Amino acid sequence: MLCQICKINEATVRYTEIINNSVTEVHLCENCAQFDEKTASEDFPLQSLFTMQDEQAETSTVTETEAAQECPSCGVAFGDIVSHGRLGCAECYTVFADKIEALIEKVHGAGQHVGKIPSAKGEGLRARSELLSYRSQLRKAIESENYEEAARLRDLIRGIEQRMVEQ
Amino acid sequence: MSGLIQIIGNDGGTWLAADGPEAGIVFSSRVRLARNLVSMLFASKAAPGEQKTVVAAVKSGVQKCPSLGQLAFIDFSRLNKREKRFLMEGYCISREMAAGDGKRAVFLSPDRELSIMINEEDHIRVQSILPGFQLREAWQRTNTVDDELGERMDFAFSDKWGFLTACPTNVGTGLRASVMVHLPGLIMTREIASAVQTVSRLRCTVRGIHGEGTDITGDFFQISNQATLGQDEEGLVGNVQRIASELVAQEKRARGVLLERHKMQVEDRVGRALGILGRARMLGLEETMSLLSALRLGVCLGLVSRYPITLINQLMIQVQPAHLELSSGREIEPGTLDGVRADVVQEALARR
Repeated sequence: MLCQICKINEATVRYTEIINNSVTEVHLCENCAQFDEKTASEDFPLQSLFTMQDEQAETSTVTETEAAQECPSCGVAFGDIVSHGRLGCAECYTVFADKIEALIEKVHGAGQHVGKIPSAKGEGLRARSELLSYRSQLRKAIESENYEEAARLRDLIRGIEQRMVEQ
Repeated sequence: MSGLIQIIGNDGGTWLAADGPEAGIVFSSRVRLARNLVSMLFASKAAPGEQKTVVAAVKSGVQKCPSLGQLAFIDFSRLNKREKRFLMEGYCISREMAAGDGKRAVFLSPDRELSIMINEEDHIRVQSILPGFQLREAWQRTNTVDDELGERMDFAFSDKWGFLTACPTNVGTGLRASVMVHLPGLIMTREIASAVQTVSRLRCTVRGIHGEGTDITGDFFQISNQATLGQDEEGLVGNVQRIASELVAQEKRARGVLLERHKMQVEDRVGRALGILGRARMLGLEETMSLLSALRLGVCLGLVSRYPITLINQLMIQVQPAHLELSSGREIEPGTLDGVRADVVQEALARR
């Protein structure tokens, strides 16, 4: 059985990948296995996802103009991103947002981060979500005429707002 | 003696000396987090100068963390190909880390349970690995390290996409949780395909790994999450935990069936493995892994009592090529590696 990538060498590496009920057997030669991202890293390769995006179409979904678009921050062209499966910098996420959005949705089945936030950056984000929470608690406290609690919350809110202004 | 061995020693790390919960079926549990520094290009796009800056920045950040004082710093420009492979064989670094070039480094704990890779695909990859089924524990350790690092470094992050990674397939939590399991029972009862298909959901993958000399072979599978965005970390870890538990239960059942109805066949396979491992003068890697897999099954089924499972787990790593070459402390003549492997195996088995 010939290697599925180079189609020259005999395939000596094979693995079975089963993702959400679809089974694929992959056969590679020793050389290509070293560079194949599935065996090279545990991560799911990006290139195949760009083609997976539009299984019905016979041509690639990335037009020439799209491929030429560059990120102003790192200079990487979108075409490069598709072929190497990697972005150049954090800015790329903003620059190519619309194209990446569909891809992210496909891989993760979601488009919004709900996990932890970084300890350092947390300050601003945490403050904002705390504010939202305290404000709604304040409303409830006032409605239920629990004025002591309301006062406590009001002071907390003032404290956070003050800190945010100072930053 | 190799410079690397001088830093980290020769024993394969003490993490494999313990066996951990469900040791009979679960080889290891691993959790890694991917992070990048703000305003720096991602590793593969950065010029060497910038890569060096990242290494220096992360190095300084790690060295400021009080709980990370024990970690050894290994500069990859000082390592040869064999030494990098050695680290990969021992699960200290990923294959990508060993294969790639550029300015890279890794911080490694003495027991090898914690590693912080610098300039793998992302600037920082924190990894905890533990023997047996200890996925939550591995997550907690990685999380703690990430918190400490996060207080001292600025990670690229957006409200919408979470932690920004070089590859969008890692974006969000940047978390990959994986469990490596040994499923000879399901393979011998020919139920492996259906067992795996039943449990393959929750956006997790189950990978069987075969192949000559590229990785662990012999009835081992790796379960890991595919999605990293849309659920929180505990949820993602929980998914892998759940699926691994189900497979463990299936494997136990299959092994029971083997003992009940096919004992002769199992004993034969184990017996042959013992015979060849104990007497062969040359052992190829693929064959050795397959034999060790049979021996491991024999030990777990109680058919072989001489060897603890930890011995076999450690052997699985010690028979890998870079381990053989570096442990022997001398240059190995091409073509004699299989002979060295046979010696190493027999020495380990005879010690009992």
